[in-house]
This record gives sequence, structure tokens and C-alpha cells, in this order.
Amino acid sequence: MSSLHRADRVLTHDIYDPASIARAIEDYRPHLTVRVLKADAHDTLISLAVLSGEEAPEQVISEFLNYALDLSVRAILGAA
Amino acid sequence: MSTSEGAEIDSPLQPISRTEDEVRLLVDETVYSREAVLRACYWFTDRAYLFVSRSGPERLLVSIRAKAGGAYVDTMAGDFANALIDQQVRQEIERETSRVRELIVAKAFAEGNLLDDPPVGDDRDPVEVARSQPPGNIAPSTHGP
Repeated sequence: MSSLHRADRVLTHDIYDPASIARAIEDYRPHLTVRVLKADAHDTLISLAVLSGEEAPEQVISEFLNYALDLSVRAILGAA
Repeated sequence: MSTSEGAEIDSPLQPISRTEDEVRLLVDETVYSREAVLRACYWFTDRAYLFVSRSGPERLLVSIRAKAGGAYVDTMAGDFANALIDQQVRQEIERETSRVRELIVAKAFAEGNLLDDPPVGDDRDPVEVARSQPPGNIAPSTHGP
């Protein structure tokens, strides 16, 4: 599958907890290919590639990041 | 940010860049806690696209992009800044008043006979202010009969 749009992001674990990142990656699998380039105790570096056929690829990436943030806030603070 | 004389103002919340559809705010974590930032973000994920990164020790960078059909990004950034203050103040009030809240809840449960120990005092003095004051220094009750 070819990709239309790519972006790299560093997700700091202070804000994005690793379990929430993993779940967001899994849930967005039909829309995005996410590769974990590097992960340590503090950060996860991911590379996002929007699959061909998706409209507004930047929006798909933004939706993914919002979803990961939403899950993380719930995980870190409990149901906010 | 600078004054008309050009002097720098060290604000805990600074817009560091702005494009047509995105504002980036630099948040000082010595002023706004991580929890306040997370809660403010949680409020805004239905209205804006947010991304938070660490730009240095005790510095978070919040990127805010309005969703299609949403408010102007400047309005959104202003609302976000207000939400951040709101959350920080809530946290500080919660911390300052937690002991009083615990006492009131404990008293309420005690008066409902839900605890083993009988309640002390009465409903006119739920946190027992009168017991800590000398006799004759107690205001008359406004309760009937």
C-alpha cells in the first residue's frame, strides 16, 4: 500500500502514556501506518504514514494525535 | 512578548508562533502543573486538534489547531489559556480545602449512623467550631424551635 503523507512525532511519556499510544496505533490501523522508530523511558518517536485513499491526510494524523492524547489523559488522571 | 520599550516579559504562557490555522503556546510547568495542562487539553479535544511536546525542562509546547468549521484559532488559544488558569486554580483550591471536605464528609456519614463510632457535636456545629471556643463565645443557633 503506498502512502500519501508522512510525519514524525516525538510523544513524551509525561503526556502520552505508552499503553495509550499502543492502543491508538492499533485502533487507527485501518487509516494509518505507524512505525515506532525509537522508544525509551521518556519518549516514543513515531513515524506516521496515511494510507492511500484517505482524504485529508493531515486531518487523519491530527485525529490520531487527539485520540492518543484523549486516551492518555484518561489513563493518567482517571476519567477526567 | 515585549513592552513598548522592548523589554522582555517573562510570561508563564507565551504564544511562540502563529500561522493561519495554528497557534503554539509555551507553558511554564513551574506555574501550570502537568495535570492542569492535561485537563485543559481534555476539554479541548472535541473543538481543536492538540499536540503537546516537551520543549525543555519544565516547558511544554502546546500546538492548537482549530477543527474545520470551528472558532478562529486565536479565540481557541485564548480559551485554552483561560481553561489552563481555571484548572490550576481548581487544583490549588482542592489542595487547600481537602481537609475541611474530609471532615464534612466524615461528619455527614457519622450522623447517618453509618459509622461504628457515634457522632460528636450536633448538626448546628458540623465541624465543631464551638467545641474549640471557650463557653459564652458561641453565637446563638438560628435553627428552630
